[in-house]
Amino acid sequence: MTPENAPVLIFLCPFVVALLLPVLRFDKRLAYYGAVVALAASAGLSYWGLTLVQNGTAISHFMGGWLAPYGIEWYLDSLSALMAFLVTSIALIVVFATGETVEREIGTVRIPYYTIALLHLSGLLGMILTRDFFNFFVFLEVASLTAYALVATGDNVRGNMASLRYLFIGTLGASFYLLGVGYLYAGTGTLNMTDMAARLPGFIGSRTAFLGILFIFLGLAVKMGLFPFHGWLPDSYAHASDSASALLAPLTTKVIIYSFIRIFFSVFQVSVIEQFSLDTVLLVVGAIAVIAGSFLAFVQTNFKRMLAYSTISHIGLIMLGIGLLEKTAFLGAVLHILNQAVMKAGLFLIAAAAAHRHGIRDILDFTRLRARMPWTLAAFILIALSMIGAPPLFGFFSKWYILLGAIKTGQHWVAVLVVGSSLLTALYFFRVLERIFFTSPPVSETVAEAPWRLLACTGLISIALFVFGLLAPKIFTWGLITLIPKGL
Amino acid sequence: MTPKFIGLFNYTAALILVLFGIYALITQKNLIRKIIGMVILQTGTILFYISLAAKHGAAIPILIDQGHHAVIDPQHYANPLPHALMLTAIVVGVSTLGVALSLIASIFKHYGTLEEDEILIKMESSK
Amino acid sequence: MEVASIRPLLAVLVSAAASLGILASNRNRTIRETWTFAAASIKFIIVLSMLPAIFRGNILTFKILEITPGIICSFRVDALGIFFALVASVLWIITSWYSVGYMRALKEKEQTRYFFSFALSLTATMGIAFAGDLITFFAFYEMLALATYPLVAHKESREAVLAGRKYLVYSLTAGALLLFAITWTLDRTGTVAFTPGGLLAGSFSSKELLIVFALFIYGCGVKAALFPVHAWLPSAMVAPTPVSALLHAVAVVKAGVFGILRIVGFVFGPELLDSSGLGRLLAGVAAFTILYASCMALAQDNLKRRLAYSTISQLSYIILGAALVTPAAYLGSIMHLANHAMMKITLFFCAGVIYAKTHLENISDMGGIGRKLPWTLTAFTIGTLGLSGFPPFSGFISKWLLCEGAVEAEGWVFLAVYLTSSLLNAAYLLPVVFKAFGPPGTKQITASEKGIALVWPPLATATLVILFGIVPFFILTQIDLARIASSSVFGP
Repeated sequence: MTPENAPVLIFLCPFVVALLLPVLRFDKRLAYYGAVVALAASAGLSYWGLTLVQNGTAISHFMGGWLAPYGIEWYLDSLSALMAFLVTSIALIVVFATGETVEREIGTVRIPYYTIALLHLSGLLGMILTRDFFNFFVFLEVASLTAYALVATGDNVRGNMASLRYLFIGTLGASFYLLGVGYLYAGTGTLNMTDMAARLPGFIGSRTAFLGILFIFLGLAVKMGLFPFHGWLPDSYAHASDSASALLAPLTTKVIIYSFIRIFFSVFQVSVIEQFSLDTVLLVVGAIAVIAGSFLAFVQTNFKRMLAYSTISHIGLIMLGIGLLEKTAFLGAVLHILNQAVMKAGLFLIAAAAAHRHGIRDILDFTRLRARMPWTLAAFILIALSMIGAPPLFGFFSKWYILLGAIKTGQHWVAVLVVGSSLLTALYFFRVLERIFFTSPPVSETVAEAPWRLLACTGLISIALFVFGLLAPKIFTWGLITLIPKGL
Repeated sequence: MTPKFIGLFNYTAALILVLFGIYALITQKNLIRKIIGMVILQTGTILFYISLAAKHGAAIPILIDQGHHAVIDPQHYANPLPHALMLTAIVVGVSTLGVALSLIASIFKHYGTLEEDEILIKMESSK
Repeated sequence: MEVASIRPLLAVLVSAAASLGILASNRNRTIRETWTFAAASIKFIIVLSMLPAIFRGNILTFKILEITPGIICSFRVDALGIFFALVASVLWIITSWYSVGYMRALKEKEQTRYFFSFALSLTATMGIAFAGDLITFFAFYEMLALATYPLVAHKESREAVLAGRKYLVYSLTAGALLLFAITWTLDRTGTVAFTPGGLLAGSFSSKELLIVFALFIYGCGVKAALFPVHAWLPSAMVAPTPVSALLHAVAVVKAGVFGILRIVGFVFGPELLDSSGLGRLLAGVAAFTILYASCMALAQDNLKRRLAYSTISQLSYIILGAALVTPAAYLGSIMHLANHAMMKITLFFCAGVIYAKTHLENISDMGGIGRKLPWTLTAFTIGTLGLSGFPPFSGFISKWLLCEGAVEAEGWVFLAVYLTSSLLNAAYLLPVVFKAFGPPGTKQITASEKGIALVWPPLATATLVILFGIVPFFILTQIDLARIASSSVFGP
């Protein structure tokens, strides 16, 4: 348990348990407990890792003792520790909460489900912690393949078609990424990120470098659901089983965004981004995603589908924050990644609760929930307000920092868009709230709340949004010191 | 004996395979053909990497014991790293293929057809 | 001199705590109502306890958090803030009393949601009153809009839901523009704290200044029902009458004009507004609103809608006074903020009693109702006379001060607007009184004031109208407090 091993240990907990689960066949409930314990251990270890690196130091672990640039390096610094902690905590909360829904939806194939879920998380953690381009590809595909499998869970066939579509588009993206890495390898001869950062400036003028960077960008954009490569997202989130979508939606795209930040800001560095006008591309694409995603969310009747389009819209907002190339906006974007993970987890858990207890998936039916699930709805109100950006919840701060950054750089149109995104988010969330609280008075019905674990976790998330809101300025100040990449 | 990389023929072939694969993946209606396109795309990528590894007149990268004082010049050996990487990539490709085929099997069992447009029509009508 | 004190925080949070208590006591009506009364009373007492310090010339502050390095969000209780807080908190007590009677009389549903939202609205109002900087102000401003939405849409009828949507669209858009303006100000000036005399001087070019001013005024102007963003207010009359009374005569709309008073005095400052001509621009819009709304009021048959347009008109009295940027006008605005609140709440209470007892909403049906509900209509008459500016009611004092301010600013047009509008006030309110005490109309009205606790609140507020019009202690205390506020902006 030495500090050098921290990165690997965080990864190993879910990975080893994932491999062990199929062996423990005698009691299906062991799968649930095993998964929860593994994730709790991993979360604890990542918190420990975070405390190790919070003052700006970094930990490198070289696999098998082979030093960089020959071996594979794993790297824990404040940004990756923060992401690792986020991923493991959210995964812990979601897996813990969805115990009953998994039992109902997945039923007999629970052990494979938990195995795949844990492998998916291992893949995500590998993506976060690795410092090697090809190693990243491996874990990207581990995470993606398990994601395809998770989308296909649940007992409706639409999930299979959605999963296949996700598979095709995702593989296309991964192949682009691989091709891009190939170009960069051809030019620099290294796959280690730190080494490539050192060698890249000498090679950057050539067309090969440009193509490499372009392909990597396209590959990641496909995987993160950035407009216009978002086509796989709505169907996948809507048709997956509730338990699986609660696990996938908050995490997968956010980890890819983190990877994008890591590769483009720590390796390629800001000068490259400006050279290829990537910041303008991000701003334009982000703007379209915000507007289009919000309007499409507004017209949906399926609740999970609405949340999927909302995710697309907010990923656009994060890209806006990144594309401004300014400290405050960048931190706002990072905070928004954290935020979105927490909020979307809460929202998908609520979707799971409504479907599990009452079979309600359609927004038009939500009015029946008013009498039946008051606590869940109270949590929903808080999470919705945080999504809209009402102070003092966490959602306000991340959006405000991006707004402040936009005004600081003089990009007033981006500022208008950030503010507009709040209004548009309010549009589709208040549509749901109005439907729940202000239409057709409920027939006097008994309260049939979600299972206690689901309810507790949803409540925990909504309270966390309030608490983290008040803590947000402290996180911001910490981030100003430790999280800003060189050159911003 | 200066090492020279093999001419651009390989890279052109890789490019054609990639483009062909993308074309098939996007435009074909039959799901099996889409999968074939996907595999061709991956093959093109693999060919690209392997081509990076080859050198004119290079030896296979296996070390034969030449005594302690022999100088080993990496330039005389083909680059083994891309081969190792591509073994992994091939495995990834095969896994993806497996997942895709099992999904298709399930879809076929339910809809009785593998044409994407027919499936979409059936999905719409069953809502 | 600034003194740190936790009392602003307590005053704000006491109703937030009560709101949770209200949620918890869903089943028991009495406990639920007790929470409301307890919170209202404690809040009033805490606010009152801060008054002596303000009269001694101190300012009470409380630091909340540091939002970005160097920018601190805090509460800052000065004369203007505590003035507004007193108005809101004392009237909440009376409104809670009224609410209980009203809701029971009409057997309204969803009362827990109602009292919960009410408590949160008052939390937000206190937060606005005590905000020491634009960001804290914004946070509570948004909270107010969100907390009052369930009250507007309370009845859940088609009309109520649509009114709620309109309300949200107007309010949230305004909030967004306000946030934009605040952030821009932060970027240019490096501070957002309310500074007596203004903080913007020299930071913006004149074209940018116009845009920022427009954004700020739009942001607060929606709640202050300035033309053309006033349209939500008449639609919001579909809410239960206690809501219309407290929120849309006192809390929400006065938060809007309070915001404009802050912007004029503490963000832009008199010199800047004068030199840039923006003051006169706002004055023009406000003057138009006064006349427009008064004329619209004449055309309304629904009593609450007539009162709504009257409110729109009277709010612009306050905005006009602020826009004239002279000490007397500013003083008059502050006074009218309180006096109009007392008078309008009386009028709305009476409208609610009429509805509760007879289910009548339209003035044309209300012939002879004065004979059946004499005390109610007496209170109504007092409110009418006060609003029209007759001495010895409090309305006379504040209107006089506003006219004095118009003269001081040499705004003769505006003086004329004030005087004309007073005539129009009488023109749209006195007929209601005459109708009520006149011969009965075609509709048979059977109503009595027997056994009705609803009559006491309007009489209480009507008494306030008289007290603040006649009794020197009240009048002078009010003017002194307002003068402290106005002199902090303009200099002693």
